[in-house]
Amino acid sequence: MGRGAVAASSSLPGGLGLDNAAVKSAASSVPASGLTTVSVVNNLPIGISEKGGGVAVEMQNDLSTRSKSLKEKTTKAERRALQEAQRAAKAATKAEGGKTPAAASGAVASVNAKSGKSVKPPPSQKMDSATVAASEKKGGDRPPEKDRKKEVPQPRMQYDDKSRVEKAKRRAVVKQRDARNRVELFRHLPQYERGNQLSELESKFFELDPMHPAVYKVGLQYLSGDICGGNARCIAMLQAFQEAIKDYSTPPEKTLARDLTAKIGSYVSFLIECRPFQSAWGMQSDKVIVKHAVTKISDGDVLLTYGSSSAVEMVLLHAHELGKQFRVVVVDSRPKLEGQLLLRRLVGKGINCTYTHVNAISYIMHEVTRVFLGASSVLSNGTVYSRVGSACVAMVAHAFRVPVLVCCEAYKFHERVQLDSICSNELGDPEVISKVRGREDINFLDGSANSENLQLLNLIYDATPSDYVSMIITDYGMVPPTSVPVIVREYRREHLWI
Amino acid sequence: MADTVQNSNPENNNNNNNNISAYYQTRAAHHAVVTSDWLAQAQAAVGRDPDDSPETAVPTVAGKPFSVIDEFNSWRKQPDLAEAVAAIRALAAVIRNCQATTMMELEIELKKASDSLKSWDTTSISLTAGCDLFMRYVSRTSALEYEDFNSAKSRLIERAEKFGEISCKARRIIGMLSQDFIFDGCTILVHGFSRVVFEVLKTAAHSKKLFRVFCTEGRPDRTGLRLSHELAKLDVPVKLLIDSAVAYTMDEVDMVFVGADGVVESGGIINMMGTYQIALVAHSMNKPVYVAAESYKFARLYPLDQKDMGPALRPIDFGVPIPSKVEVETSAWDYTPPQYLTLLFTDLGVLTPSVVSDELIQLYL
Amino acid sequence: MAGTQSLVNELVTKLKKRKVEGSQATALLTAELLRSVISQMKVPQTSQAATLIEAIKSVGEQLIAANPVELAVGNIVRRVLHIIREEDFSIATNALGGLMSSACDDNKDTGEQKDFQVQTVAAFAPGRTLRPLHCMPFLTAHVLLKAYFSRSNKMSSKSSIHYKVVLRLVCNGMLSLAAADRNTKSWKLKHDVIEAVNELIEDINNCYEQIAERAVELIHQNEVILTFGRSRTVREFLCAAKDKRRSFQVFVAEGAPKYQGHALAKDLVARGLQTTVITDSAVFAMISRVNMVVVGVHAVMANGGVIGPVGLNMVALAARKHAVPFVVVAGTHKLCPLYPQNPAVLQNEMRCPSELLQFGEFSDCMDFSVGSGTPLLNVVNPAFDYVPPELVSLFITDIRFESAKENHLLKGVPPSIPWVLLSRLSGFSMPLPDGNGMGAHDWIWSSEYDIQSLPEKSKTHPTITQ
Repeated sequence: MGRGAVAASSSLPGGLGLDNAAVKSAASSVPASGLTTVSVVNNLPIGISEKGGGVAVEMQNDLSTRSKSLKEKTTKAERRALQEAQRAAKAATKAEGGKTPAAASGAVASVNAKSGKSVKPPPSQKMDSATVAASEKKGGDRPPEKDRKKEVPQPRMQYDDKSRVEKAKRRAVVKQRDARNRVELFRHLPQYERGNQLSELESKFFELDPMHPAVYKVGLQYLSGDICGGNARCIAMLQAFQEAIKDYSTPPEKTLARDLTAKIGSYVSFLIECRPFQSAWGMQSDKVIVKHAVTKISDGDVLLTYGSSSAVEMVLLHAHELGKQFRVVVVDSRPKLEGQLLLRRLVGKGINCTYTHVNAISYIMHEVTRVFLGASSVLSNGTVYSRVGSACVAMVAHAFRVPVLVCCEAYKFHERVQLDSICSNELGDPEVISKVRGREDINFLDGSANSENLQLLNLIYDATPSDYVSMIITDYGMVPPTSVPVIVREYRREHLWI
Repeated sequence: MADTVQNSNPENNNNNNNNISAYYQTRAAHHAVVTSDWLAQAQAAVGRDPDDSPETAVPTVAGKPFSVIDEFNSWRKQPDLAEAVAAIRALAAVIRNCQATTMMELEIELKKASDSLKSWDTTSISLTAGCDLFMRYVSRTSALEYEDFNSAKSRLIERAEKFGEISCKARRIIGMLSQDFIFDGCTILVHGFSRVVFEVLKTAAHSKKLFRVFCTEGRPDRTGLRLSHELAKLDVPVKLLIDSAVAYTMDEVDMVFVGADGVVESGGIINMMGTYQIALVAHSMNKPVYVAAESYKFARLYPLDQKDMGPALRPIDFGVPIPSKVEVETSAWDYTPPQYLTLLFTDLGVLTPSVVSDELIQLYL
Repeated sequence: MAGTQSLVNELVTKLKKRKVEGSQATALLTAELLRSVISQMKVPQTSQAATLIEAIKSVGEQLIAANPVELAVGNIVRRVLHIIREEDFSIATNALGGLMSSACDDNKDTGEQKDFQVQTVAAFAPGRTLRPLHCMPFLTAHVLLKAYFSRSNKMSSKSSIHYKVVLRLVCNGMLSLAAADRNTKSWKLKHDVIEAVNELIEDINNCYEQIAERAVELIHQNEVILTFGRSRTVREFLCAAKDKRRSFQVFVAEGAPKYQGHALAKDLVARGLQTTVITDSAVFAMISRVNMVVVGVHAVMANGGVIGPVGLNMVALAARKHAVPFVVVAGTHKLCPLYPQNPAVLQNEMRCPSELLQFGEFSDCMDFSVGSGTPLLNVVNPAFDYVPPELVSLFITDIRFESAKENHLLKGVPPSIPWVLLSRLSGFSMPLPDGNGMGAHDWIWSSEYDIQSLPEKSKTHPTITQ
């Protein structure tokens, strides 16, 4: 009977009824073993994903509106071969130099894969997807499998591994130091260093001959935390690259393609050093998100947001422009108090706002109808990695059965997984913990800062478990957190050409 | 074609008086209470059916401009025809009637037609899903550049004609897929009348499985009565429950089978009122909830909560006059979130709710 | 009386202006005030108790009105009232020399006792307001007796009084009682009451020590403990474990908007504890590495829910998510016999917005309005948070069970939530589980109670009527 079912299903139009012709070849890849038990459910998606792959690639051709015009046309067979290669390459790691000027942004896109590992990796290691595209263009002067090997994310740098830390230090431009009074749980993370690092880096300016001043400036801004938020950092970096490329002239003895790529690669690794745990770099694609998100806002809603997310802000402003009647609750927390900036901007636009701090979240949640959160990245298991406190907000919202919507661009989706906020995180300046801005009466810790027993912990991110998230709004529409791996896969496929 | 769209608008207004859901009206007409009158009517309808065969049903009446909505409505009246099939047949008629000479023009016209169809009855999710699906197919076909226009056109029509078959085949597949889950001696709770669920139960009965069925009444259409009647004809032991007796009987139930009006991106389903309630009860008692739905019911919708979708209204007869000051909840559907569903049986295979979204992303990206 | 009235006014002003910080200080001040009220009062020869009760009630009403959110005031007033009734009753019993003879006594005070006991019966009936049943059918009394008798096993020596009361009540129900001789009461009522109030004050002062005694049984080596805001009880609790040579780590969430966590951290550091200060927003991130959450609260409600500093519910939810025990340490003066009704609003107060936004920074937005006259910007800064009972794993209070025999009895049936204590301490109506069920696993920690037998996350519901 199981056989019968399978026969019927594969003779059926592949995906959903009508696309028989389009995926005729792929349809046969539906696993032939019985579709009749639950265990088969595990197999099934693979078959589906394969044929879906074929479909999706064709889709890209269809949708000329979606700015895929740059994508060079390859036959389906070729793409399938590429996919196969992608899957096959899961073991070795071999460095290969970047080849094309376009590789710079490719590197950018793929940096996130290894940001943890990246205190000073050879820049070329980051170029996986770019080199693939390059080799593809060149008609495959070397087998694509080789390039694919770096698809596998390397384990993150563990800062309690002494030998590796030493090695990384020797290579590093920015000197990381052993911080005093580090929190035992977070020994594996780079400790926060303030100020002195900056001056040291400045003194090195002339040693770092290839560094373009614009890039250097952005690096310093990252380091001092002047540029805050994933999207802002991203834009700053791209602008710097733009300037650098403008000023670039090919040295006589080198080819443009090779040299510029290498240069930009070195800039990238410099920036990564300044900002080791940034896991999302890429292009902006907020319009689609805004378009989807406003459909979820209706008159009379009370929307809660936490901190300051550029995507959420755009959604709120757009909904306001559309004349929707809603109220916004801005929840904020120390030490950054980014919410105040958002609050000012929203109130300036005439949106009715309520401001409160994260502790009052249970109080305010009674009246809230939707929670909108930004994310710094979304991981494969559906975990949302975001500004510390987002998880608290999502948890309380979940307890009050208020839907939580995460607005996040697809380039922030990541194949890494994470279960808690401890394994990978960023440590901020501990000093800001003891001083409360605008509250001079809070000075209890002034005297005891030097005590051995006192540690101050300033976490920057936390991980929101996927069960608190009702929906992720991304460039591909609205998806449940269980579908993140699909988005990661689709995004990578689409951006191979970079 | 632009004309037809405009022509359909006044009709649109007429039809959607009081915002009553045409979809649920049709459902009620097809599956509502079984009385001897109904049976006689149904038999008469069945007898008439051959005359209404697809070829003759296409309204080619001279003088009257072609309207995709009329076309759709005439298809919709057939009780055995799925909503999506009716939609696709209507769109096929659009292709047949159109004077376009290039693929591009055809696509634009089809888009208009499907938009007018969708807006004509926003409460029918399978109508929307069917239109979307066909449009995907059309744009995919038009991308195949090696074909000339006429052969592409005839291919599209052919596909649309075949779709009814596909839909029946899908039900048969679902029926077979679900057989492993129905074991001898089990008790199955079903809610309302669903063609797919009926197919599942029929297949099980034909393969000599021993099981019994609890049918809810399915107020206000009372479509459950129809199902119990059909099951009794198959000699399946069946017990009829009023809708409020679900929790009372849940301890005897081994699994819940429901159909779906639409499967949404979250992996949840939209189905007739009461499904959510049943799923909640089943979930709290650790009973599996199985959904049987054809893959053409997968829709690009993502409701966050019950009120997130506009309601599909439906008149409710309480048997006594209701004072005008008393408000009546007349929504016809509810949304069951994915965490209360165990598995979905579709013609793509047996899926967990989270796979639905993956399928949709791959289809529509 | 004039002297006492000025004292009362002084405390009322303090409470109104929120000059008294913390429920312990409030409780102490209240108890001391009531003591001086009692001591300065001239009691008539007859119906001493009634006069005292009247006076205390009127003072109590003023105090409670001054700060309705500070539940400790009401708790202490109720405790003192209970003390008066108890002393009065014991004097009466002794004077009449014997239980059964007293059963026939029907003076005003027993009438009051009756009311109180009858309320417990009324509590069996659904509904929130407990109205005394004036004619109690025998059957109800029987039920009450059974229920009460089985429960009194679990209670302290003092509860034997209740048992007697119940017995007598049953007699009341069956017999029509004769009038009593009030003059038999001795002059020493006032004296006894003042003694008892002194004891109460001492209890309030010492509650930390007794709670801290439990610490060493609950904290093991290398533990990671999270606490929130500042609480003296928590500080003493943690330090007690430290003094017993346990080395463990404490995470302190700072507790905006008061940031009292900083002060607690300073104290703990001074006592040599490994302390890490984290922001409130990092609570969820850190909770997965925490073994236990220990917090002090503002009040414990009759259903086992607690009212604590704002943000506590978030901490409790995070602890529940990661199955971390959420332990509440609270002196008995924080046990409140009220049910929380919309606690987020009614048991709450709004603090100054300037704690969140600096004055001037947003002043332009704060008052400009859009047509309707409502400001565009609102600042919400609540002071308290309500944590429902199902999120609390354990209560630790300063109750002592004097005799070993009773401790033994205690082991058999796990004592249920605060009402057991409340009935003892305040002589107040015992809230019974309603349809929703009270905290299913809220336990009063008491000495000698075997920790292994504590089903921390179990769902077993301790019922009252067997």
